[in-house]
Amino acid sequence: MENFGKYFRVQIKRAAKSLPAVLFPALLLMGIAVLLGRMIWSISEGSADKQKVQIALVGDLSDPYLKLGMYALENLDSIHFTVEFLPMAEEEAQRELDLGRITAYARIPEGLVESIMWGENKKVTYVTSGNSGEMVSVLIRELMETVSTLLVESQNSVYGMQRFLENHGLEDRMWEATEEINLRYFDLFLNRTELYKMEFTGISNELSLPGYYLCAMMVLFLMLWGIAACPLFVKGDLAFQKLLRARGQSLWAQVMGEYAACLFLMLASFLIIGGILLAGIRYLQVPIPEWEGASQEEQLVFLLQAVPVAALMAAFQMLLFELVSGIVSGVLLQFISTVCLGYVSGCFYPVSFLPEGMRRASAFLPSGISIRYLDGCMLGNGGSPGELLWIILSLLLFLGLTILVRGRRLRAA
Amino acid sequence: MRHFPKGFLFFFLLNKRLTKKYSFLIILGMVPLLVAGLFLAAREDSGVLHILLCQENQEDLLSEQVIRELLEKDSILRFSREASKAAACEEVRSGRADAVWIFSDGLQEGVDNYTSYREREEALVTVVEREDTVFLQLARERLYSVLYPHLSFGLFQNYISLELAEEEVSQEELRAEYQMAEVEGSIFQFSYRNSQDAVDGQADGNYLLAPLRGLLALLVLLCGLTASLYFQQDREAGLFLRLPGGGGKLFPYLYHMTAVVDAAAVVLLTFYVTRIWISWGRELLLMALYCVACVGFCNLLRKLCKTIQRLATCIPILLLAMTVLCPVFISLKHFFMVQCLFPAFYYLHAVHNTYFVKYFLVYLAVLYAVDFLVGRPGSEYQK
Repeated sequence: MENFGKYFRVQIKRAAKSLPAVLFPALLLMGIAVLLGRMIWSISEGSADKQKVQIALVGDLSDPYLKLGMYALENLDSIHFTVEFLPMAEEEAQRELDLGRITAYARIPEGLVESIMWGENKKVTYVTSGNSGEMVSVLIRELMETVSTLLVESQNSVYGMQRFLENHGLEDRMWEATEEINLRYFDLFLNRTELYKMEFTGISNELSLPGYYLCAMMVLFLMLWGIAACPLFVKGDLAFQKLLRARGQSLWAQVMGEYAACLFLMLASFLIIGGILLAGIRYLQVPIPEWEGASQEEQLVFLLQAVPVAALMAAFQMLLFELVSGIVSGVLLQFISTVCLGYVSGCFYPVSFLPEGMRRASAFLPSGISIRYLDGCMLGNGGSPGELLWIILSLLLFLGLTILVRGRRLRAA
Repeated sequence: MRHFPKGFLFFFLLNKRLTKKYSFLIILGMVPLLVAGLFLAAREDSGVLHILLCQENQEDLLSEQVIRELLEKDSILRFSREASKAAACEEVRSGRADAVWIFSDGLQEGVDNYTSYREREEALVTVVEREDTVFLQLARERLYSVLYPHLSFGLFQNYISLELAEEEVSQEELRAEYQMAEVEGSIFQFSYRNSQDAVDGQADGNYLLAPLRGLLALLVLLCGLTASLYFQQDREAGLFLRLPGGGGKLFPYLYHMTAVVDAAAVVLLTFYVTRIWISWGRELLLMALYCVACVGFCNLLRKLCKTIQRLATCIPILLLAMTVLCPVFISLKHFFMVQCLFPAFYYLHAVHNTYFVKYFLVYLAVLYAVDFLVGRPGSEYQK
């Protein structure tokens, strides 16, 4: 026990010595991040237009029907606040796309409306420079499919009617009937909300998206923190630990001493940076619905409630440090595990966006457990006892595994 | 030229030193396996919204057909069938689903009434939500597009039968006239800025797989950053004092290059195996440029940070910043001044936009010029 106390003190001293060196650049970068956040916020607050996805329209836009169609599309309820169409020349659109000022451009072929009238649809080309799987592209694709269905089905109907009139010797009514059926289609389109009746159940006891992402980002930060700690905790060889073992320092005492130092350093970084982040959120007045009207003390309590999560993450990272024998491998393992666990647990996309299998897996991962626990804390119920129990069990499991791996490594050495 | 063989020797020896660590090889080997796992997982049903589909009458043919269409079609919305209306509403209330679409009993009759202007009081579908969002509004456009072919035919049929036909017309004849026009397919087509680009295989249009290229690009950069840590550690241990002239001016670049090239090779292999691949020429050229950029960026950062602790602290924050600011998950506008500092920004943009390569080259020139200035004799960052 005396040995444990000594080792524990030495490890804490070692961690404390490197704390300023770890914290200073982190604080500096956090300051930059807060300023960046302020910039984002001022841009998004300044003008609603700047939040929109801007799509340039190039090519033959002279047709009045096309203008009407684009106007109707731009003013659809569902995309009114998300998409803006900007007419421009193709060269200008390409330049704007290259500079990332627009999301994409749509090339309208010459005589598009005539081709639609004759049922030989020319294709509108949607040109993007980014990833086609990006959320905006996927949404636009979905929307275009809808527009296409409406157009093609309406064409089938109008041409079918004209053929019917021809077959039944009613050509004299052709223009009048075509106009009438087109008007009916406009009516069908404009009154489409009459097709469904809306009912609202009210907000459930679940987090808002900003609240959810704050919790997810906290977990992601704690996981990424392990990369910064690699030079301090990854051991190239275990000569010193072997010596300690020979002098009667048990594996348990070694690992717990190092764990205490790791947790101390992590908590110090987390609480200082978290404090600044909370101040930044208050300063920027980021609208997190769960914190509407909450005092600074309540927000600080939330930060303190995250201590068990930090304890779990420190234990998980101790295991990762123990599994590798070099900084390069250590950092790589930390990065890969952070990305994989973060992805599966909903740190990047909300967990509801993921397939069922991933969602089930996330319930057993340290990151998934942590996010769920923090969600509960943010909702004001202090995290459920069940989640807390999971955290404690996982923490003990990771520490146990670390001791096992350390034992194996010492025997092999 | 006389330095080339020495350079190769250093490169070989440094690589040998790195690859002797089995954990490094195992971790690199894990990358294609994890990506393959993600590909398998992405085949499962997923979506940005979970919508439950419910029938007031299970025997109703049209609602059954519409539900089947919704379930079978690829979409970013995840649909599932729910037999009980009450259970479906409870799922929404508890947050397990985002909406329920309840199709009314006698949907065909409802469509006929609606399109003949006889009776429009009764809604065809009841939509139950917790709150209305832009995503849910977009989802309702999908509902409209699935109902639309039936509505369109209903309108056609009613207009002809009630307004035009002088004698009774059979439904078969009308159906034949409607289908005769044979206007099919989408009027939209997708293209990249480089119109000759093929689509990205399974990853194309799949939001779950879309960030793969970006994340793997960050992995390559991370290998460079870890090499910086390693370099700093070796320097602090006085390892380079044994090398004649400290290994020469190019030595730090070679040192970084080993880890970066190993990671790049694994990442390229992953792209090829998973078909996130455009063409040999483009992939190799861009990866070569990216490797050079990563080496310069990491070496410059190492010089600026000076100590291993500061460098290690910068890494997670830089990775977080790059994940957000580079087009890995989303493309942010208005941050060009910050984004243009990161090599991954140029690489990811140049993949589908070869015009970006010229910006990439300018970036490399500026990066190495700054690196040279920071490392010039007498500079406080030289060591």
